[in-house]
Amino acid sequence: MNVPLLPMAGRPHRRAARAFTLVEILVSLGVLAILLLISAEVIGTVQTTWSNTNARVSQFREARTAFDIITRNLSQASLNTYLDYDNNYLSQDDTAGVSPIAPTRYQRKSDLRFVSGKASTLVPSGGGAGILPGHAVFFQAPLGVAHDPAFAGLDRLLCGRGYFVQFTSDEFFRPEFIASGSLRFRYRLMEYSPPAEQNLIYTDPTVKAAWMAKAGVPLQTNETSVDRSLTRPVADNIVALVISPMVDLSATGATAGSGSRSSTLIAENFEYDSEQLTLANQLGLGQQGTQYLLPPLVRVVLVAIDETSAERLSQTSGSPSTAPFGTQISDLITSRPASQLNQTLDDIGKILREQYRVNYRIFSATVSLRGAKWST
Amino acid sequence: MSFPQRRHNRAFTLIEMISVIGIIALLVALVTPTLLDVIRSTRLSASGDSLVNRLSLAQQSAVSMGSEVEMRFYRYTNSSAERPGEELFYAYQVVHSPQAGVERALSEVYYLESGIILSRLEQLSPLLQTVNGQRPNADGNYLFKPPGNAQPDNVSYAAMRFFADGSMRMLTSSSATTGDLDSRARAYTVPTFNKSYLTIIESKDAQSAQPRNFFCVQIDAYTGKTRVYRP
Repeated sequence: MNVPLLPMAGRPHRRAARAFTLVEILVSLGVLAILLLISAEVIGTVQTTWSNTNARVSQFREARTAFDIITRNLSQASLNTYLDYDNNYLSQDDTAGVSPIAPTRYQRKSDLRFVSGKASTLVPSGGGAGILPGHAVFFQAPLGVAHDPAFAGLDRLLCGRGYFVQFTSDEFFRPEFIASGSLRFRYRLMEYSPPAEQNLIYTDPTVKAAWMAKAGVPLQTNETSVDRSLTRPVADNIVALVISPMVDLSATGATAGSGSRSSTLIAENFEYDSEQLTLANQLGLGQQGTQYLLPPLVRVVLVAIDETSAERLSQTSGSPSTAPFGTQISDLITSRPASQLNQTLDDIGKILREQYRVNYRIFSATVSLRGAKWST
Repeated sequence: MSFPQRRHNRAFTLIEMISVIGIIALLVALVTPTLLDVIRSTRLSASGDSLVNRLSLAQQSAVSMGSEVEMRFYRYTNSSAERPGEELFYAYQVVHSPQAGVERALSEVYYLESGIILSRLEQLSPLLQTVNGQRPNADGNYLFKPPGNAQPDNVSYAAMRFFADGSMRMLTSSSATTGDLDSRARAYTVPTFNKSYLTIIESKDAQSAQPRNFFCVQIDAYTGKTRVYRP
């Protein structure tokens, strides 16, 4: 009896002691490893997408606000034109008190100025095309910026205003307690906003450039409430600003028989200056052409990248103070006329996407200038 | 018969239980601080993001109303907070003050999340250095009644004022509520750009000039634009 009983009694004991075999453990470890790998992969993807989206959302929110600021202020641009006798009358020697030449006609005049064009030529102390990609625009508008608190309620004071993109560091304005080791060099949308007290538009009536002279001067740490830096960043990581003055051809009545004309003909190379006499006797404009006229429409384009991309660019481009692609973008913008701006924007996008692998977004809108009295 | 008996005996021993619980406790102890940090920093970011949004809201209402709009930061003692004995900035509100003695709330009071405050140190929040005591409106009511047992007349506030042109000035004098029109206008001055910021921190860092985690909001007084610095 004892002999058959032994295996019976031993069986439960053995079962309890039976551990996993090596093969079982290896298999389960393998499955576990595969599961871990898959889930790590998924979590990693989700995390990058999440942070990318976050960066994009916050970045492009900032860019959109900046875009709103530009379009809102630009639409208020004013030239305050008036009619006066033509130049002959005023330029004559009037020491005798009598002018030898009688006035011949009335002429449109303005003491103010609207000018847009390449930022590297318009911004006097800003740097080259690599530092100042794209265009700049300067205009006069009743924006009511004043330093004297006594003027605080006068919200229609005439002020100069300018916008352009500049590659700058945050050295002069970052808070002191933040480690100063890593300065952030970025393309920034700059706003040049002298207050009404410092609007120098009337100081030199022949050139009308004195009021723009301080644009692009870097921010200073020692600014006071009456003497502050006039050029200030409004948004980071804006890599290009394009300003294209346009005209609504159907409204001018000049479209008939001119099929090849495009609405950008008033500034085919993006250069527009209300001081210049262009397009005389065209578009039904009379002898003065576009002189002392505001462009009726202005297309404003902003190219924004996100902070993550900008941070990566500043780390990979050698020194962070090297402007990464400003020259390339400037060249692209000047390479084509204004009528082919859409292709230019495609090319800029292609470079940003394929060569620099950055997230970007292009904001574009056409602003109509309320002060433009586009008639003969 | 020995079969079920044995199975019944096979339970976890005390040692096994203790070691398992010990391991669990160890894991929990390791994970908790990290988890708490994550929760705190989420709260910090959330508070910071909403402050940034509301600052731009205040600025935009000033522009769209064509009038001066003020953002007030309330400082009071909060007995139910982590630092019950200290006067700290816990809340803010958008206020419209068309004339002396008339104050109208443009928004509800926004409270920072619990455990999160606005630093009152000069190194971290130069914008919040001048505070005025809260005064009652003409009808005797206070605009802001603090929670807990603090009294409304024990509340003081720092303020930033947004103007119709989008610019901002900070409160730097006590004559903002008492003086004549001119001195009230001059009670608000323009801060320099590199001193124009305030910082949201965790309340455990309230005394530290180098907090580990922070959300610093800088405001350009002339454009009214905000920019954010994080560690």
